[in-house]
Amino acid sequence: MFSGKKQIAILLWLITIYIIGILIFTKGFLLKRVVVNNNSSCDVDFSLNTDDHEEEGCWMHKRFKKAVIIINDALKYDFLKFDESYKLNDTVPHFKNKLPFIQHLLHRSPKNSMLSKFMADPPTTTLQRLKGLTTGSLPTFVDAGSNFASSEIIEDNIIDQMITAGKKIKFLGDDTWLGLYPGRFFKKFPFPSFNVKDLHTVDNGILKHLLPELKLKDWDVFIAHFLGVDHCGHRFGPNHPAMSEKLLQMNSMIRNVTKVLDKDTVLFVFGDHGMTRTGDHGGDSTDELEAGLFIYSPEILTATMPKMDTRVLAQTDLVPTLSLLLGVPIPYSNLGMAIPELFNHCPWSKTATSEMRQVYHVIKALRLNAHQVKQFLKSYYEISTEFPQQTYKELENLFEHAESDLQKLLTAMVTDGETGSVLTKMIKLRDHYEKYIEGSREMCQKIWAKFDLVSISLGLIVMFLSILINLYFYLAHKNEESISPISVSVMIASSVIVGYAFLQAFYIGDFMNPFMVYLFSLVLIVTFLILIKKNINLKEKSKGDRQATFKLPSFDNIIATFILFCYTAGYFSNSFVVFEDTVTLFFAQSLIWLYGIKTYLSNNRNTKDQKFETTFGRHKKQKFDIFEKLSHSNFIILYVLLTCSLLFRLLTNFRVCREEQMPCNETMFVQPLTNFTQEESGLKNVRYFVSTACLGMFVYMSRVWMKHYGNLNGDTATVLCAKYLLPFATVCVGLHWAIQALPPVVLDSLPGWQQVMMAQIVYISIISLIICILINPLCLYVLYVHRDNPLSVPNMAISSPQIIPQVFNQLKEQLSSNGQAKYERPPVVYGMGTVYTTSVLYVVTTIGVLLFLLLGDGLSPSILLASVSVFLFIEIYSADVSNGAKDSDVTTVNWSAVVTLGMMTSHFFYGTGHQATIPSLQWNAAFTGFYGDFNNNILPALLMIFNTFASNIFMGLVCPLLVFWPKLYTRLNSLMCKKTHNKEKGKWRGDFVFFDDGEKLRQIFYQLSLAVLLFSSIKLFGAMGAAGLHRRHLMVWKIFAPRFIFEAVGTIVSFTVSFLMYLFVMRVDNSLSKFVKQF
Amino acid sequence: MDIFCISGLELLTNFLNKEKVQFKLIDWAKCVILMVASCVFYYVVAVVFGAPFLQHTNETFHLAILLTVTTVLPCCLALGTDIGNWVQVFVLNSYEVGGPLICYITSIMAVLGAWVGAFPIPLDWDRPWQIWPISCVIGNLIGYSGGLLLSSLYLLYRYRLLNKFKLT
Repeated sequence: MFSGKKQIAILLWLITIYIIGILIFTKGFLLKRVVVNNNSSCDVDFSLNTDDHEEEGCWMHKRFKKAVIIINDALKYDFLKFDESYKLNDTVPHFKNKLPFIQHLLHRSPKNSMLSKFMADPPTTTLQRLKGLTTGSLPTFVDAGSNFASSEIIEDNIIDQMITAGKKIKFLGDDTWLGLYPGRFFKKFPFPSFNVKDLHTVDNGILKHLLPELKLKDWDVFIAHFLGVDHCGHRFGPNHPAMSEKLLQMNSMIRNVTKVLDKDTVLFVFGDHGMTRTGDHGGDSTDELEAGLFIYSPEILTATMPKMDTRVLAQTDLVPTLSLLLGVPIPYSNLGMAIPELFNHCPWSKTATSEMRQVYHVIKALRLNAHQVKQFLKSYYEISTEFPQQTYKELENLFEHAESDLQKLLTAMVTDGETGSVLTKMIKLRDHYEKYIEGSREMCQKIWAKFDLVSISLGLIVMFLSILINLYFYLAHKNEESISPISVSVMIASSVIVGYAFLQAFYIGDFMNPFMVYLFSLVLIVTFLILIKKNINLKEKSKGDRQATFKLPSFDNIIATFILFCYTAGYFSNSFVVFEDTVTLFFAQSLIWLYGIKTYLSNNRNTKDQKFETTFGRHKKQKFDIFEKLSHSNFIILYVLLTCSLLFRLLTNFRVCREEQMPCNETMFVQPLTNFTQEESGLKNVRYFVSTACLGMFVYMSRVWMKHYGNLNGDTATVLCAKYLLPFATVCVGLHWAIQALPPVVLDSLPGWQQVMMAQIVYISIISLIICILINPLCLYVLYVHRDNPLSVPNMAISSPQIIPQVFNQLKEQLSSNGQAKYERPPVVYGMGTVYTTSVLYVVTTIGVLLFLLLGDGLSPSILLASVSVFLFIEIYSADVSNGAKDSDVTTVNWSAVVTLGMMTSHFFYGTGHQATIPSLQWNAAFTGFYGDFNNNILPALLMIFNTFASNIFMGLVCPLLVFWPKLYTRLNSLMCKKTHNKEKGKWRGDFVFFDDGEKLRQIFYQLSLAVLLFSSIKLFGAMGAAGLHRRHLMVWKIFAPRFIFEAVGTIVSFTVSFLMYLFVMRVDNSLSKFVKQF
Repeated sequence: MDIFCISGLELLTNFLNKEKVQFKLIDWAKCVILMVASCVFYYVVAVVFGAPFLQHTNETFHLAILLTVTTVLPCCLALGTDIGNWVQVFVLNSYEVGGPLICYITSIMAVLGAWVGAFPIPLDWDRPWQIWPISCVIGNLIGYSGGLLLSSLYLLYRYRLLNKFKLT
């Protein structure tokens, strides 16, 4: 036994070393690539200046003097491609065939225009894409984190190359560009990009300036970045009338732009990424990657009609293409390939007629491109040693081979003229260059997913060590041993090692051999294993003295641990991760049923002695009464169990599909209400009212519960808040949903503050509710009974559980020595028997309302289902506990109950419409109650965490109820148990029994927090191990890495919540003792 | 299925010979009601554990029937319809060596087998037996047969012990 401060210290220390372990692992797993800070220059030895056609230009003569680049955020290939399979009167999806002008151009002048798929590299966030589109390089996974905090690009890029070449760049649109390229544009019209609800500000702003600025002709390169399509997707999804409106607007914009184009100008229209069927992006599914690219020029672009339907271009290809077309050097670290189709026409040589000239012209461009790539690979090779030797050598050979072939061919061409054999050789040579550039790109893609094995292994070791320490404390919490000199010294040693590992991974890794860290960690791990072993023995011994009551870990604990390990092992298989929603459902249901069976068994074993003869007497003739049988406690257990698991099963209706799960039915619950079309307005209304009803139910239930136990009496601030402010906040949530469900036109016509007012009121109410409960965490009401006021207290006590004068009889006895009672009779305190539970429930309800708001209206039934099934599970658990324990016993928390609750959490994550993939993040939550314009990214990140890890937060809040609930002996509990409790005998004390022994209460909560930590960290360890082991797996970035990231963040959230709940319960305990001292 | 009907019949004949349990018509009716109820129960449990609700109804019911046949039917035959017997065997673990013991072990093993049988369903091996509920059916049958084997071995052991005591 040790004091609370030490417990807090140990918990904090454990959380810290866990987080250090996670950080070390993350550092090794999500590495950034090395940036080569060289710039390409105009004078290079490989460019052939012999055949310049009097046109200036670096490396290659320029074909075009000017370029117009129109970026249409999230412009998918599907939007651009005209689908002719639809007939005139067919109903076309809203995003299809809305850019007919593109089709018109393709038909009218096929040699002047080109349309193709334009594959983005994940992650498909706009900032990452802009980096890739301007540098021609590949982003790495970790760059995604910096989306909201733009930073200047210092790597060589096409913008800087153009400026060096003396071109003037004019920019309109998304202000992300200005963060990337501050001070580069000679004229700019930036517009804020963050408010995704705003479809028109950016676009209308651009359109206002677009044509006048284009006509000014004071520019060489014109960049316009439209955001409307992307925001429309985020807000309504692709298949919505608003999308068709937006695309038609873009159509007319493109038409107008092409009208004012000069002969020497080329136009690029493309999307920086696609969008999923829900209109979001960020991940790596085909829908998100498949952007579209359209190129047009009044002059002939290409000599042959390109077959672009089957061609797939990469977004990195834009940089070399644009550079060579405009005659500027290709940026140094580019890995893309100039689009060959655009280089087979040269107005000066006779490419129109001679196929060989066409191919030769392409080869010229590709050769420059290949030289640049080779130079980059060489300098990268010098900086870091990660290139696989063999592949690098093979590529070198390929390149040398191609170069020598080219020389031979050139001499052959001079001597033999343009023969057919030369042509085939040339085509072969072109393919060689293409192969070289593609091969280099692939190689880089592979190694940039590179891993720091030392950090990965160190992270795993630190994590394992922390789990062992956690296990040790969990097992040893009762013994003095846990804080003995030996364990203290081991603890200090392990903190030193963890610190050392941290230094090793982050600061001195380059010069120090990590051998020492491994060695010491192994020694520590062995030490802890010995300590744990010893502890188990010790426990056995001490218990063994008392009639050998100690058995091996009980049956349910073994099964729970087994299931936990199965689940963790499942992280190592991609199929189990993909179908994790089903897996968690299966395991959670198994555990719930295990508890049901356990309760059933304990219920009947209990009565073995007393009632067996009468109930199950074989020879006793009984009148068969079906109702009596069906209302028997065993049947009640069955009903509760079935209801609990049925409600839990219903959660599957709210899950969304991940890409790999197809075919799979999308749930309609995650769609925002505005997405419903006019025809579906009936469904829309039904859904809205069901959602609101569920929200109301949730709050109403907890209110009724509190009222029943008398916690809503009196006039303290806390009680008043619970009584009035909470329902008020609930109504505001409902109103907020109603506002959000308005048709978009109506909604947009409202000023911004009106759109978000309701949600902000909810935030304010919830913050004030939380402050209230922190200042005064007790919902009690003291009624002083005067002597001349003969209230019949004993009768009331028997009739309802609201009054517990017995408690105060005792209290009075205890305290009578200290002070004299002011009144003859003991005062009546309302809600004393549920004082702890109410405070916890108060927090659960308050945060619950916040989760309702952030998860949106569609998912509100799912929260209700989850909370009711958790409530029923806790009822089953407490029935089991009260079967096993005497009334006066204060039981510790069962490990298997924590595992069950944790497994329910894991499934509830899927029940709230999430998947462990980045595309399924519900970005809308970041804008709930705010109208864009964040100064920093802390607030939206916090909102996103509340939305995504709602399950972890909810369950973390509910956990303390596992301790308190069994002592309440609720109505349902007494129905489920045959055993009669003291409630009927009038001795019911509720969870106030915990007040008797503050030390014990702290002990239980310390253990509960340790159990929660242990559970989540074992899961996290599995996810980490899987990600580390499968780092070269095909699916690592699609499956294992996101799983690890979600698990890591979720675990940290769980840690925080359970630690805060520990502190909160301590706070309640403290103020309760102050309250009692008043008497 | 046939095998189990036969084994059930064997059990039945054994008991008719040994203990002369008289099965009345009402007991038969009770058994039938019990088995139908248990079918529905197993169906609900399967759905709750994640089986599709509206598709594959036949298959799920097939599994439910099989589970009934491997658990409830033997128990009906060996223990009769008196709940007291059932409680004695399953809750209080005080079974006689013989039929009830076999029932106890086989039914638990059969349910466990079906439970474990669900494990390989999500794997992407594309095997025909991974389709719901084939692997569960196989698991159930393996569990049941394993249970039979286990209980026979255990019986053998117990009889040995008994005989030893008799000898000394």
